[in-house]
Amino acid sequence: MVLQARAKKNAGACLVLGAAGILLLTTAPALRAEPRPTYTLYGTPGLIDMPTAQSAEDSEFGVNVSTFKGQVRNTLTFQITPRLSGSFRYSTIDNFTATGERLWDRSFDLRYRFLDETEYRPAMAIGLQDFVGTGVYSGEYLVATKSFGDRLTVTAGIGWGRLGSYNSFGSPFGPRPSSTPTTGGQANFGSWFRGPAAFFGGLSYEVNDKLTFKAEYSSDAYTRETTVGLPEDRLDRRSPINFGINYRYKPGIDIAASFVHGSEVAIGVNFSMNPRKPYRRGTTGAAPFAVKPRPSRQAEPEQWNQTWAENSEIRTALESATVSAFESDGLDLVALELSGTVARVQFRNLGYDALPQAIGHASRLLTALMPASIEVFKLEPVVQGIVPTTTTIRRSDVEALENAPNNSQLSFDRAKIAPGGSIAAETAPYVFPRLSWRISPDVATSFFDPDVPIRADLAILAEAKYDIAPGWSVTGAIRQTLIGNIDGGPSSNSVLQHVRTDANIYAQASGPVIARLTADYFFKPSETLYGHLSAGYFEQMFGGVSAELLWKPVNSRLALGAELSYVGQRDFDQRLGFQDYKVATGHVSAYYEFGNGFHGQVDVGRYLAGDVGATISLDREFKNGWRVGAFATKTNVSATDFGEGSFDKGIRLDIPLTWVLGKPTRREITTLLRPITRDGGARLNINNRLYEQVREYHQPTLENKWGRFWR
Amino acid sequence: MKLFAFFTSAIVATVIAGCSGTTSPNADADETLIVSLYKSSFEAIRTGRPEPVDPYKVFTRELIDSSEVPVILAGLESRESYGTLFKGLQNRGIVTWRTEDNITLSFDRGVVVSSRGLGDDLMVADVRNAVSGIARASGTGVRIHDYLDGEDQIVRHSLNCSYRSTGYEKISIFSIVYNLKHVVEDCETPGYSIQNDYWVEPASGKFRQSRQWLGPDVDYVFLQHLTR
Repeated sequence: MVLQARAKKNAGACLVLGAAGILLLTTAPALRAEPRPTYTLYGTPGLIDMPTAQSAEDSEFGVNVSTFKGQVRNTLTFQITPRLSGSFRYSTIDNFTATGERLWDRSFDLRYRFLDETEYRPAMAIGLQDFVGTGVYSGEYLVATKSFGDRLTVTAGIGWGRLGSYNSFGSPFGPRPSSTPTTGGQANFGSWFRGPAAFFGGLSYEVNDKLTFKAEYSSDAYTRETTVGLPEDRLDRRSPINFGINYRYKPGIDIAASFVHGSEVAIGVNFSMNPRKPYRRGTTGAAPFAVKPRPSRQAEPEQWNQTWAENSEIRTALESATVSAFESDGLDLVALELSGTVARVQFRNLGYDALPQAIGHASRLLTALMPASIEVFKLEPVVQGIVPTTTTIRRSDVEALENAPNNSQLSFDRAKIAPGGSIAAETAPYVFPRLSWRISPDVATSFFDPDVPIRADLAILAEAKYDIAPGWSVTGAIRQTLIGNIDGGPSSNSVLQHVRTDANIYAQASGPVIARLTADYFFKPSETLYGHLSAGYFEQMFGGVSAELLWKPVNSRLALGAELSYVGQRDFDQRLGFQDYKVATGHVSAYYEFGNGFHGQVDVGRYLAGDVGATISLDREFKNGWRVGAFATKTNVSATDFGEGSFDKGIRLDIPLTWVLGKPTRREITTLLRPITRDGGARLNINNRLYEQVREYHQPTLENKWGRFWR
Repeated sequence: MKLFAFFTSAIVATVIAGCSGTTSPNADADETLIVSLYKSSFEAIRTGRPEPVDPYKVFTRELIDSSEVPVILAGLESRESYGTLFKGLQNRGIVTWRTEDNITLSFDRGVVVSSRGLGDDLMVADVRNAVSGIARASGTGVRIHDYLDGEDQIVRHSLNCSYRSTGYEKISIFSIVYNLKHVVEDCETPGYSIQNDYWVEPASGKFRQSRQWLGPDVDYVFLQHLTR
């Protein structure tokens, strides 16, 4: 059953995956024994409409746009593990209702390849198409694919649901419960593999490394498209045989053209990329300063006998020289404490996405700056005025390993990583207090409104941060929208407090608005505890007071946190005022690094609408900083009260800009995609929560990125 | 569509705004005439945009002799670009040479052990066997190259190399003629094979000229030691 989808604003995205057009990045050609899989019109690896048991390369990302006869399917597919792939699709079908109206639909797919292909056995997979949602494309399948030689693959399978609608041979698992109109968005467990089943199959033939020919027998009768809707615009399905060709324009860009249903031409474009394989390897940033070996004792005895350490003029001069040298190399010196043999250096990493690269640069600079008697460098990167870890490196090791074989591993083995202490009593001049600011363009987006599927606002964002003292800061941003159409979005029909669904009204505010303005205090009560107190306007819709505590030892996979906030909903004009609605919201959280590239998070607590429940997130994280994940929240709000979608869920993507540009930078592209944004399961958006800030200073991130130490 | 137009340009603007993070160390090489003549070529070496400047039309022996710091002419064949390397710091016998725009090559007795600023840089190489193999101009040895993969992890390539001499050649470098021994290093590893060439000055063992393979993406660099 189908719902006329009226979507709501998707809050929180800052750059859209539609930038895939700009991220025209390629994968390295895979060394495959079997022919390379191509993508279907559904944006999944397979034939034309029918799936196969093939998987894309592990961690491959596909963005697919395909169209035929009034249908447009936009699909994001991610190979989550070598066997499991997931897809999110936003599609439109014209002439869907009896009166010829267009449907906009969101769907999720999963496929699991449970058997690998061997010499005599085909690969086999099981799949769920559109398993969470209104069910327009719903179908399940069991499929086998065998390759013969390195060009030909043959596929055969059994489909249920939509994939069992043509020429079915019976219902092996009983009847399919008819889905009654509901709020949608829920997995229809009771329907899976029920109802009529039918065979499907096909073959693909790789003519050369650019051209693949595909033919299939489709078990999808397109019942609705051929029988409902205005008669003159219905799909005319004359044949279950579909033919297609796939043209590989470049590695990572495929164009498909097919003749489907005996009556229609289908066109599709697929962009694929792989976080593990950037288009440009390495970075073209400036070479680091070279190590400067120390003068011998005979040549410069004053540097060796440590008496320089008692001369305050020398110490001041050393500090100034270090400030300048660090500044020219993307680092910001916070404090320098010198004894005769140890230099304790606290600094902020401004320029490098990989913290070990900042540590490596600092180490080399110190070999040139520090008098010869200094043998030990204690490097303490600082974030928000606190020191999560101390990395201790011997100067002799830096000198010996600069161009030595295996220097990456050896430098890691010899470095000692320990919990950090506190900011030194005497900081470098001009570090506190200090004002920093930036003005930049900003894009906000809103998707899935059937009237205007992509809404966007372009704005100017002026951000500033005033660091008052170690841990104390005031930070804010003012936003002025220049042009956009998010304010034209539909009004909310939610029965809950409109904690998130009045985005269109917020977007109507004219003039500059306070995007955020908070006073923050970050502190580190012990080696494993971090704290954050904050007051002010946290985000577009809420402001108040918040307190957060995080327990995270340097080497632990597990971290635990607790956050409690008391906030009020802000006035629509987003200046200083509040509406009457106030709520106490908070969560306890557990974060866990599984160690194989997967990261999990569970948050339990009370959400902005006063509902109580839990959020589960699972992300695949790559050592270069890419993150792809999904989350879902279930609270005590009923599906009916929640509204369309039934419960909050979404996918998120983080792409480090260094990966895109090949130059060192700390910026990243962050995208959050919710098929629908409602008021249940809504969490306060605080942009400087502790875990994300502290993680990169701890293990395993330090070890994961240590390869960049000598870069 | 208007919406898509400003939308795309907004993304482009935001992405560009995000790439203001690069900083570069102060170049401490002297601003000699050679340097100022070559700024455009340095840019080409770094970004790979072909800048077909012919160094033989710009350099002269007088210009080279006037430089206070030793100079190496470097050319990246696959990127069709040239640059000038100036001698910099030396640490434990390894010398680092730097261009005006902060690309470096580090050498162990003339053999490249690392590069920085070329993109897919040679992170470090174990060339001890190569150095002795070239000096002998015979025998075999193993070379090890470390690179960073797409996930910033070190990948190691192990190359089996053999060394031989093809005799003496007269090479002219900006009006000075040298009689150099041409040594060839043939290396093989599963997946590819390469050939490095060295033109050695017999008296000093110095490489007056060489053609060395830096990596799968950067390919070969051609080096000429210009200073007398």
